[in-house]
Amino acid sequence: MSEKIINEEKTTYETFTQEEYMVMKGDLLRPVQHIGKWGKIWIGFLIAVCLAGVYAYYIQETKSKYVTVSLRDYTMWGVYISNFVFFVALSLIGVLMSAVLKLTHFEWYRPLSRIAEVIAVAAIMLAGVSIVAAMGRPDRLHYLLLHGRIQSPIVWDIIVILTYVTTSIILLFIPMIPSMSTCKNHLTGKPKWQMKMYDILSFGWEGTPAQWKSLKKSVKILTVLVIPLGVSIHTVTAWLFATTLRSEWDSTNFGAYFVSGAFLLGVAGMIVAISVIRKTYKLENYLTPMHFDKLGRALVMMSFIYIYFNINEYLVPAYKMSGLHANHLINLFVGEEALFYWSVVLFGMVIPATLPLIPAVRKPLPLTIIAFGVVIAAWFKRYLIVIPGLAHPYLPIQDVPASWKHYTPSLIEMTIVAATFAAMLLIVTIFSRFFPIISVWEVAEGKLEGKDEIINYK
Amino acid sequence: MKKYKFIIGLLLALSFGLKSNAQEKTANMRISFEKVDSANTLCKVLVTSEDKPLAEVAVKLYIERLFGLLPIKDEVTSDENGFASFEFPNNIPLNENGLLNVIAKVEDDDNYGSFEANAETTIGVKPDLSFLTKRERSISAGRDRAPIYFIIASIALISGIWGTLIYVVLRVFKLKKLKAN
Repeated sequence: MSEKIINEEKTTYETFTQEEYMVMKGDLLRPVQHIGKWGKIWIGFLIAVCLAGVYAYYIQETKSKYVTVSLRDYTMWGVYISNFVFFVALSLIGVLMSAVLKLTHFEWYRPLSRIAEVIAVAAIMLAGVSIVAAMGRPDRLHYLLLHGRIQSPIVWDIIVILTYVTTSIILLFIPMIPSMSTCKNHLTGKPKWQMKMYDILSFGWEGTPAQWKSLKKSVKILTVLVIPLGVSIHTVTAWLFATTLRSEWDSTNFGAYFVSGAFLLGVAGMIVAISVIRKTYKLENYLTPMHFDKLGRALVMMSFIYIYFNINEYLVPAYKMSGLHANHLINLFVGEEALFYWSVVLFGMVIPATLPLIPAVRKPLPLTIIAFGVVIAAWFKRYLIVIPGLAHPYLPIQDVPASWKHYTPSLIEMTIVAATFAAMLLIVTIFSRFFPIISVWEVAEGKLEGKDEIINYK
Repeated sequence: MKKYKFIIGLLLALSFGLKSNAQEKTANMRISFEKVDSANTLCKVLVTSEDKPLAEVAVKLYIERLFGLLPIKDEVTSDENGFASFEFPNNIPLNENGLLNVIAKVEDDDNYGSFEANAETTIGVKPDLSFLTKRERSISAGRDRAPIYFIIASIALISGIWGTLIYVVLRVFKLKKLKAN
């Protein structure tokens, strides 16, 4: 299958002249070269939402969480934690779209890898922010390192997040070194500090064969490393739940269930991202309908894998309907959360598993609409994993205030969650305004496989 | 105008007078323990003002714990001899010094306001904390009793991955040396 695809790519790509190569370079540098009016308005809007989130956090920390957020003794993890799980899942986009495709020689990964990596870095950073927002005493965060027990999944989570964010940043940065040189040599009219930044970050890149060899070896090491790390980070996140005493989370399936969900979200997130980027930055020649076709097929496959784990997770306990699970499952299937639950199943699993089987649906617009539905459903899916699970503890809830029994996120919580999304989009937007969002050399290398020009370009 | 000044002056004098009158009325408490039999102990709080016992004063009794005060029964009103008596439990874990700090409180009394007294006692149970030091290394133990295999495996994994990351970063810094000239 993979061989066939590679052969298809090779027959499609034709050799092209230096002039065409310069056009390509110009196309990919355009978003960096010029920021239009709407671009500035968009950045301004995102900054405003982020500032609203910072203010909401200030209110939360100064007026006490009991007053400002809806978290209580039973639902002690609310939207902050479901948001955290969502962002951790999204961060696996880098593993799938960059590392797995690269190592398995799916050549169409080339224009996608940097987009995936920058989303991964932004998502994992915001996952960390979501955790800090949920912490009772954020000023004691460093106590986890100073006094944490190595046996605790919380400590593993902190360690693996720090490691994954570092690896992702390095993996994003190293393939950017030739691009820094491209920016340094080809951008004009940019401030001095920006040009200086490209100069420093290009680490004296001249594109010598020795430099290429060294760079590619480093990228390969990181590409191999990031796959087990990405799988670990989401498995450890799943273990945070699976090692907590709640009937819904008593599952040996949780690690694989979370990872498969993350891969589905990764594919959907990638479809939405490239759809927006190709239109906004006019990169239709690089992010082509071929990419949507491939991602549409991947979406179907990931959906079926995720459905398989969902059947294990819900239908097997539902077959037994043991006392501990029954309350929670009935609540999901036919009770209070039913509409919510079945909407997530429909938009997050059934539609992406079936509709893209039709080739016409794998065109950019319909596939983007489906993928957008998957992303939204994925957020609510994490909400459904976290909150109803907490609301059904082993011992019945008795003699407690009404506000402890039901959880509805407060305005402060939703503002902070909105701000995390804005911050993620802001990181990706700012990045794409300073660095080429599609790696010039990786695309060129793909098209000019075996040609000398790629070795010596600046 | 003079009349108003007179009234204001009078009101001020009255309020100061009342205040000073209230401040003059101070009361004290003294806590003592009385063994009833081998199993039961009474904690008696004597409420006095100017060495005279005070009756009908509501007293609350607490034991100081790590994060707050543990109330011992509801409030008890002092009798004609000034005593508020509490059945004192004998099964409260003692603190690390082998003592309990007992606190008696009167809150917002009409005549005497709020005041408190405290006393230390050895009545209680000395907790057996030997398990903290004797406990075997296990997943559920404290941070200093983590299983050895767990510590070794964690350190090996973490240093292996971070070592690789450091190696890759060092390679980036060496790129400059690989320039053509």
